[in-house]
Amino acid sequence: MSVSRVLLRLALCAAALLPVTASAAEEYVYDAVHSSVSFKARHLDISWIHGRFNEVDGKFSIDRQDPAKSSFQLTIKADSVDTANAARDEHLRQPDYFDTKQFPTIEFRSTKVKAIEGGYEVTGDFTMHGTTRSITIQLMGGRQIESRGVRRVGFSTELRLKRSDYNFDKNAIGPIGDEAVVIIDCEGMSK
Amino acid sequence: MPDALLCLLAFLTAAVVAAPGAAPRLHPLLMLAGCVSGLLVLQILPGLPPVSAADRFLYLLPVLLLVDFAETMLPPRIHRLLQCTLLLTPVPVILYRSVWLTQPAEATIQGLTPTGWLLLACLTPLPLTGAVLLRRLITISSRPSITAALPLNLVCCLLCSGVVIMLGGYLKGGLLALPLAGSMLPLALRNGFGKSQPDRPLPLTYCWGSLCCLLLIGLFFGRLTPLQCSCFAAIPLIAAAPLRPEHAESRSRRQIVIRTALTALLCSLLLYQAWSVFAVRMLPLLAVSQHLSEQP
Repeated sequence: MSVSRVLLRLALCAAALLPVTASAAEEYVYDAVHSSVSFKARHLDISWIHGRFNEVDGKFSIDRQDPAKSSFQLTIKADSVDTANAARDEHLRQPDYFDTKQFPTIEFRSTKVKAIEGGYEVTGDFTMHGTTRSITIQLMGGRQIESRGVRRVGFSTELRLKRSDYNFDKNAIGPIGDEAVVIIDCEGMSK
Repeated sequence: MPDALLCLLAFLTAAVVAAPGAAPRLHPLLMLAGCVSGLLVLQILPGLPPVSAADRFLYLLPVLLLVDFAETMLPPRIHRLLQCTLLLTPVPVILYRSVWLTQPAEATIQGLTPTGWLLLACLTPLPLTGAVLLRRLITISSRPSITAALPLNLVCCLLCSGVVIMLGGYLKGGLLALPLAGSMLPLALRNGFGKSQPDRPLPLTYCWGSLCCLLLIGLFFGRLTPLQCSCFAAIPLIAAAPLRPEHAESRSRRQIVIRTALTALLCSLLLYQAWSVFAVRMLPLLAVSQHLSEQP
């Protein structure tokens, strides 16, 4: 085999690898059908009220070789709050709680991602009720599979938030506890 | 629901602090002090930056009163221009950065998009017609017969609209009405039932402005319906309708009582209607809560 042929083959191999090395990050969009963002809050300190947000959108970019380059974004429509009681949902949309006319979305934007055992530790800006705070969440999962030609990746996390940290009306923190537990189970689909 | 005793205390605190002192020129400032005291009793403080509509409204209040305070210092034309401008200002201030302005295609009240409501609430009074109407409103509000009854009617409407907003589920918004109404009560009682004729003009920008702002907050952020909002805005004008033409320019105590009673009756009807909706929608939730809290 001549030197020129070897060089040509090497060049072809490099060209084939180029797209992979140039874009190592996997891009996913939030799969609303197989994901959920739910929450629970204490009621009168004797029980838990459960609810969920029905309209969520997001995208993830996962760089498995350099996790610091990964990013996660989630946008929740506050208006889509659903606690299985229409009157209570309407109340939650009002300014004493989510004030959805003033603050229509709840958002998370990652600023720092670190690989940990079984997932990623993601630090980011969480914006709710017009207040942005930096939070760190443990996104567990990240296993990728391919099903019917679609690449999928799944993550789960649970975080505890204090409503008082997000400028909620303190007079409305009474029967419903200050702390809320948010449970996110999301699946991403490759574009 | 809020503590009734605390509500009463806030209302009375605002009224006591706003009670007129010796210098009539300082009365608008006393009203502001009364309102602030009532808000402090309720532990409602405006946030900084003012991100919510209620916060922005609270920052707007001193500006409204400043115009009334400056009435004697400014030429009448300039003062009226300021009044008209300020009475048009609340709509953009209260709706600032809300979905009504940022996502107008998605937000609706009773099926009508904000474009429609903004046209009704903002664009209608904006041009010349609005200025003329406002000037007319300010002019008729200054007549002796109306000066006597208007503050009482406004206090009544503020209180009832506050309760209706609370019954709709927006507690903080409704609570704002208590210090506002309390701060107007001494003036209302003095103008309505005092021995002498009112010796100074009404702080009209504050009185009308605060009612308009509260109604806008209830309409766009609470569950106040457009019909309730229109009614509460129109009811105080009962003070402008002379029951007998010969009494149009005079201050008759009997007329004041009749007008106030009529206002109270109409407000009661609106309260009853709001309570009926509340009883069907919200009361079951509260009843369940009560049941749970009583369990050991």
